Amino acid sequence: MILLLALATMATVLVLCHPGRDGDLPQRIVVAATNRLPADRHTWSRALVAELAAVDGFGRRWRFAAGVARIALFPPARQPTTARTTAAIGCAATVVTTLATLRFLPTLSIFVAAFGLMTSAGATAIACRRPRSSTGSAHLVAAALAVSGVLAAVGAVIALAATHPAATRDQTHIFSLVLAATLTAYLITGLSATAPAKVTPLTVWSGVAGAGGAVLASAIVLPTGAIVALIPPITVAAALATGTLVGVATRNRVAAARAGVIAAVLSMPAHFAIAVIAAQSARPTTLTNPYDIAAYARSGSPDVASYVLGDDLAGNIVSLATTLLAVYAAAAVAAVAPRSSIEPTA
Amino acid sequence: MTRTRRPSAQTIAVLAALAEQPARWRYGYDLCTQLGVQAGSMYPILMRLADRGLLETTWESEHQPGRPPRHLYRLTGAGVAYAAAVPPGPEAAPQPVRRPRPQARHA
Repeated sequence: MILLLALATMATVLVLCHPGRDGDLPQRIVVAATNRLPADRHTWSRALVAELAAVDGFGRRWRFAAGVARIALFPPARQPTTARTTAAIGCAATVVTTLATLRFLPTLSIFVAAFGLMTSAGATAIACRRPRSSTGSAHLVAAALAVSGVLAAVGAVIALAATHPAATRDQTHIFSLVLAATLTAYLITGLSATAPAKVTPLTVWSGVAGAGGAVLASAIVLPTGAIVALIPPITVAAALATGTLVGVATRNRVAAARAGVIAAVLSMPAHFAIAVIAAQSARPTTLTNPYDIAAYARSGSPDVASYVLGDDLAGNIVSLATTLLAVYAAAAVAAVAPRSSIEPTA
Repeated sequence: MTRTRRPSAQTIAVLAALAEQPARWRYGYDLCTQLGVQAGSMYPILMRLADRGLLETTWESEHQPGRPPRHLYRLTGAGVAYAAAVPPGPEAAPQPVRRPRPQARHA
């Protein structure tokens, strides 16, 4: 994971500092950020880029770029009441669930608080960007699949923590924070697939079908007990098959890549939940002999349950999530002019 | 239902700055420097005002070579009336960008 993060950081820096690109770093940030503004703010995107050209001074340009990045993340909402309501509900739900977790499952409180805050911020950002137009059924199904998968993953962690409290007793809380950030990223990415302006229904339906097929294949393999080892190949195969089929059907590379990514993103939280539950039920304890204990002692985990959780988290979900996030980050930074590569809406 | 939500102090300051000379077109960054408001706050304010029909925008017709034309802003008639109707709060006074830093006392 550290290697992937380092690679993602290096790729981002290399793309930002590429000498072939126009302008200084603040200008590239502004161009990339304004390209992420909603389509109905296109005039403002041009205005912000033009305004930066008149801003002199290193610090002033950086402050301006930081402000534009903030606008890109939380643009003025077309439906401000919806955005405010979303933020208020998210904050209230986070406070209530965190207090409840502190009372009943204190080892999960950091995870719940972090997940709630990040999810609320993500939901508010999506609400700010949501256009007035209605959402199609394909996008609603994709959103429902994303929410269901993340809820299943959270439910699996809660079940594990309730059964084995030591599994989430992480003094550094690093796994709690990583898991919260990962699941939030999955949720936001899945919900972003509901932006009808950028993704056609065919792409979304294909991604949903690929994710559904992957989860179904996992359910079929589940009784064999080999589910944990087979999940990454199943996910990769589903993503590749989905992307290939969409590419053949549409002859559009962007659509094919998006469909494959949607399939992988939507299936992984459900896979994570399946893997955690399957690993627990298939081998509730691996401490069958002194050699296991010796090996376990070097695992760095306080008990078997935490080893399972950490193994699933690091092995199954974080690696793929980090890869996907790295791809998205590189694409976001590299896409100085992404509007030309936006998948045409049929 | 009519929106009765009171605008923020920064919005009031922007309205007041634009209402000083309603016929004059202003640059966004000039408003930032005049009022001491960061771009991340100023442009969302301008966008909301434009969304509500209180602000009109245009592109400058004459611009420096090598630079793209900049966006210009001024209040509409409704914006002027709205700015006049909004009572300025004590916190709405424009702040300069660079405030003089107090001299450190040396014992």
